[in-house]
Amino acid sequence: MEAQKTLDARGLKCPMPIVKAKKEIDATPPGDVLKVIATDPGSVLDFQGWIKTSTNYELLQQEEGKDEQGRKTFIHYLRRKS
Amino acid sequence: MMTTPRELFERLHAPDPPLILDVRNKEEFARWKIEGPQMPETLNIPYFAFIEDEEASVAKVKSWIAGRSRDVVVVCAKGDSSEFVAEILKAHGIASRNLSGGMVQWGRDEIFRPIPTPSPLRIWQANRFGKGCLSYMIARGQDAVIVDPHRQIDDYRDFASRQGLVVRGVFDTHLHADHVSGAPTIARAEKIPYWGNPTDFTGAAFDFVPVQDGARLRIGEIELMPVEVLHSPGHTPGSTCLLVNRGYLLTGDTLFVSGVGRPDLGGHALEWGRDLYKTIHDRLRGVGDDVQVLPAHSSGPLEQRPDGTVAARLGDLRAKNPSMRLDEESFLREAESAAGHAPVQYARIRRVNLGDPASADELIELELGKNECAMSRR
Repeated sequence: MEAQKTLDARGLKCPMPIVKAKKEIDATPPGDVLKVIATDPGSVLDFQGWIKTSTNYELLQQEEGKDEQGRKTFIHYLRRKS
Repeated sequence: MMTTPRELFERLHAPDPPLILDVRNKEEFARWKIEGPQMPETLNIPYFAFIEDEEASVAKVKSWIAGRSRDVVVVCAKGDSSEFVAEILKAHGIASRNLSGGMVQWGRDEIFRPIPTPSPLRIWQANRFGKGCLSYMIARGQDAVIVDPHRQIDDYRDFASRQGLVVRGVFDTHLHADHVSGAPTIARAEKIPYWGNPTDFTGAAFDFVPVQDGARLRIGEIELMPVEVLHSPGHTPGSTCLLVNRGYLLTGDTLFVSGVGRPDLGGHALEWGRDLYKTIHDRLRGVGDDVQVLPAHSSGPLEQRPDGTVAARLGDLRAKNPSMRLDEESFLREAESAAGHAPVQYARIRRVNLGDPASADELIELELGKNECAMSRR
C-alpha cells in the first residue's frame, strides 16, 4: 500500500506508538496515508481500538512483516479523513 | 506513585480496597482482570481513549469516582501505558497509582505463607495469586524440596536463602499445561534431582528421576523427609500426590478445595475421567479425614482461609467438595461437558515443559491469563 508518510515506531512500548501516531496524523493533510511500523504485538488490537474512538481517522490495513534486523513488525496504515 | 502486585493483592483483603482503572483494550480486559478476596470495583477505559480525548476520558473517571475518597490503581498489560494514564489523572487532581509491571507482573508474583505444621516439618505455600497457581516449599532441618515451582525461580531461591534452607530437589506433580514449570531450570542450575512420574515425563529433553507409586523421595540412600508418592491418574495419566508426614497431601491438579482437576485436557475426557473418579475415591481411601489437602491451584478467592492459605481437611472435602459428592455417572457427564474449552496455548506449554526451547517473550505470552485447570460447569 502507498503511503505519503512513514512513522518508525519500532522498539517503542505502548503507549508511545499511538502517542506518536496521533501527533503525526494530526499533522498530515486530509486524504494522505500514514504508515506506522511497530514491533509491539499489542499495537494490532490497540490501533483498532484507538481508530474507533475517532470519526476523523480510518485504519485502512494492518500487516505483519520482518525488518532488516529480523524483528517481527506490525504495520498499520492510517488515513485522515478531513 | 506506584504499587506492586503484592501490595495491591494485600489491599484487596482490606476493608477499603482501591478502585481499579484498567486501561488495556476491551479484548484483553475481557480475558483476564484483577481479582482478589474482595472483587474490586473496576472500570475499563483504554489508554488510547486518553490520547484521543483526554478531557472526556478524565470526566468519565471523575464521574465514576463520584466524590469517593478512595484511590485509583491504574492497570495495563506491562505497566507503561498505565503510568502514562496515572500521570494524566494526577494532573487533573485524581489520586492514582500505577500497578508496576502491569498484568504481566500481576500474573507472575507470589506470596509465601506458612502452613501450620508440627516441628521439625515446615511447609510454605507460594500463592501466585494472579494466575491462581500454588506451589510449595517443604523443609526438615535445613533440607528443602520444592513442589510444582513456577518459572520465577529466583523467588524460591531468595525465599530459601532467607530461611536458611538448602534446596535438595524439585518435584512436579504432573506435566503442567497452564504454566511453565521452573523445575527443569532449578534442577539444572542447582544440580539437584528433578522427580516426576515417567508416564507424564517420558520423552523430555532433560534428565529427570522417575518416581512411581509407593516410592519415597531419596537422594542416593538418604531419605530427606517423610514423603510418600501416591500415583493419582486422572488430570494427567502421570499425576501424582505427595503425602507428607502422613498429615499433608499435596494433590497437584488432582483435587482442589472446591473442585477437581479437569480430566479432558488430553482429549480423553471419559477415559481419564474414570481414572480420576477412581483416584479420588479408591486411591485416596487410605488417606485419613484429618489430612490437610494442599492443592496446586486456587479456583477463586473464596477458597482462602483466614490466614491467607488455600487448604482444607480431606474429610471436609469428602463432605462438601461438589465434585467429590457426585456419583460416577454424573461425574463423567460433568467431565465431558467441560471438554473442549482449553486455552489454545496449553498444548505448546506442555511441549515447553518437556524441554522445547522458547524465547523470553514467548514465555510471557504463553502464561497470560488465569489457569483453567479446574473441572466445573461452564
